[in-house]
Amino acid sequence: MANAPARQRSGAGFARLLLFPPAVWMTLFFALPLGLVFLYSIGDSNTYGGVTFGCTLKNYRAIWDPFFLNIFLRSLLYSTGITVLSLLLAMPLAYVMACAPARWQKVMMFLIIIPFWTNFLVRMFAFIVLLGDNGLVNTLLTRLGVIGEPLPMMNSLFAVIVGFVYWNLPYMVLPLYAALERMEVAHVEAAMDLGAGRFTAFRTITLPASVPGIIAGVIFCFIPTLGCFVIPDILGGPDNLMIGNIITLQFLQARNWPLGSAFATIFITLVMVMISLGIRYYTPANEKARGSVL
Amino acid sequence: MLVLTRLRKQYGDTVAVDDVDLTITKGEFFCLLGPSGCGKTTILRMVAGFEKPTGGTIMLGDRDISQLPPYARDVNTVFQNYALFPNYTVRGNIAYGPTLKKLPAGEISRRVDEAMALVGLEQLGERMPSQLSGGQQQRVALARALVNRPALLLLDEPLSALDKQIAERTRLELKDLQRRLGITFVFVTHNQVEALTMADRIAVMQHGRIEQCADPAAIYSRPTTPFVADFIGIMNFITGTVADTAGGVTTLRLADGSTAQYREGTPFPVGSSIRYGIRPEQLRVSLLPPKDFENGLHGTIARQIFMGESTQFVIALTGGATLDVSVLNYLIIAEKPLGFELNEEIYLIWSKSSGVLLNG
Repeated sequence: MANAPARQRSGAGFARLLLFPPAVWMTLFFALPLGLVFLYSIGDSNTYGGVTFGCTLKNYRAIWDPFFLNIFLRSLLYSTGITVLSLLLAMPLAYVMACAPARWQKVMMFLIIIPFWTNFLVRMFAFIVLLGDNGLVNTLLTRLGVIGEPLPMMNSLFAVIVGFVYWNLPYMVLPLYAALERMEVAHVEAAMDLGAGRFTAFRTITLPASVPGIIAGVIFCFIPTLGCFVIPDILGGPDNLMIGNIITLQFLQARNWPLGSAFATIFITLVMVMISLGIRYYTPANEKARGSVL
Repeated sequence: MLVLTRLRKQYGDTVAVDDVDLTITKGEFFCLLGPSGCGKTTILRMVAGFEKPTGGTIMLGDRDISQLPPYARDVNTVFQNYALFPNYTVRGNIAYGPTLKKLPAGEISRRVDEAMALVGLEQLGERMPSQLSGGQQQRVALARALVNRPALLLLDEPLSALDKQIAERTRLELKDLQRRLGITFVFVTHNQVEALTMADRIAVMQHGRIEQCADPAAIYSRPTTPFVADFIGIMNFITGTVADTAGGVTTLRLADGSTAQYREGTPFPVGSSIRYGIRPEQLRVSLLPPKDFENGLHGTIARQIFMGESTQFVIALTGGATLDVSVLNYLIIAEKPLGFELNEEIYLIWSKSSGVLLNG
């Protein structure tokens, strides 16, 4: 018993040791580059695409340029809409999954994870095969005589939404399922026992209980959607550029690294503020109750 | 008021409830008692509407409710782990039912206050369920169900999650509450003491069937099957055969060769093997031979345990069997508190009117 405190101390030391490699990794490959991005963003680009370090806010001011501002606001709008749509589609799916017998839950989980086996880019290019003028959908509809002309689905907002929702769905379903699966069947039964129909029971009992899952799902969908440049690039065409695209453009084509860095910094700040607000203003009902006892 | 007719529930090939017939009268405190897996909870869930019967009907009053969804039945349930809604306050939980019925706000508030007062929760309305003790949660569950003024209240092992002391106190309170409100209670439990202390009538179940349905005294003193005899309290079994049934008195030949009499008629014909069931407290240990209205067996004291208000004996019979005896310590002699020595030869005596004859 006498050496128990000593053992505890060495245990804590070991835990600290375990933290060391990831801490080094994160510093080298996350914190430092982030600092560098910030440094670039207050610098200036010179004629040959290089960066002159300095201390100017002119790159940040460029966000007020109607062209960029438009793309920023559009990105926020698209991401919000796409996240809401993903949530609406994922909720029934997650609910059915959580209510299914254990064996079927495993099968459905497996089906949801299958897309992760294929490269993201390949899956996105597959949409060209699906949605193109001579793609699967148009060919089928034309053959069936539903339409005379192929529907112009590629390079449209429609294609962007389809691509994003497809990409987001597993990320939304999994946290929702995790939250719903923990839901006690007895709570739903109690609600129905007290006079609630299936929908009322869902609205008043199941939905509030799944709020942590909804918040997690929304974060997992909204933020990657906001920053993604591949989907708008492949499926959206020139009229559906998003933040990710203009940042990439600054770095790769316009060779204006400071401007790209400034946009990246704005984007990262925005995301961090949103996540912090999410954490700050959301405490589950149980936690809240426990908190007020203490 | 609640009538189950050939009620049946099967899961695949497993029969959970096997053609049960049962009538529960209005205002009754009825108890379904049995070991886990006997089908008692399945019956409760079918009455509540959470399970669809495989066959048979459930009549509540003059309405067949067997196919109705839970929300359309005039029945409310107190769940085993209470199933309080974690996202509502105590008040919110209790107001859930009346709010869905779209009663006027004043009426809802009045009823909720009334229900909270009924179970002594007046001070706790704004608490969250997770801030309550087990006993308090149980009260909220009760108030949440009673506030709807159901014709029938179902209680699924509501005391099993409570501390022993709180559970004991709550037993009396539940019984009082039921008497005062006059609502029919159907109470499911595996705890025989709960059933005996609270119920007006008990149905003892096993393997999806009702073994015996009677009032607590009859269940305890006149069990009709060996299972009921064994499940409720402690029962000693003495094996033997029926030797004579003349004059309304049953004479038995016991395994050790001695005879015993039972001063009641028996449906068992002469020659059939039976078990004579006697409760520990119906037996008496004595140094004197039995009187003519008593049966007696020879034995020795194998063990004696002083329990305060009573002394438990284990008696080894000459045949080798052992019986449990419980004697109230109404007379404790200071020098010899237990009255007997270990291995002392004694008579084990019981009245010819006590006990019960069961199929061997």
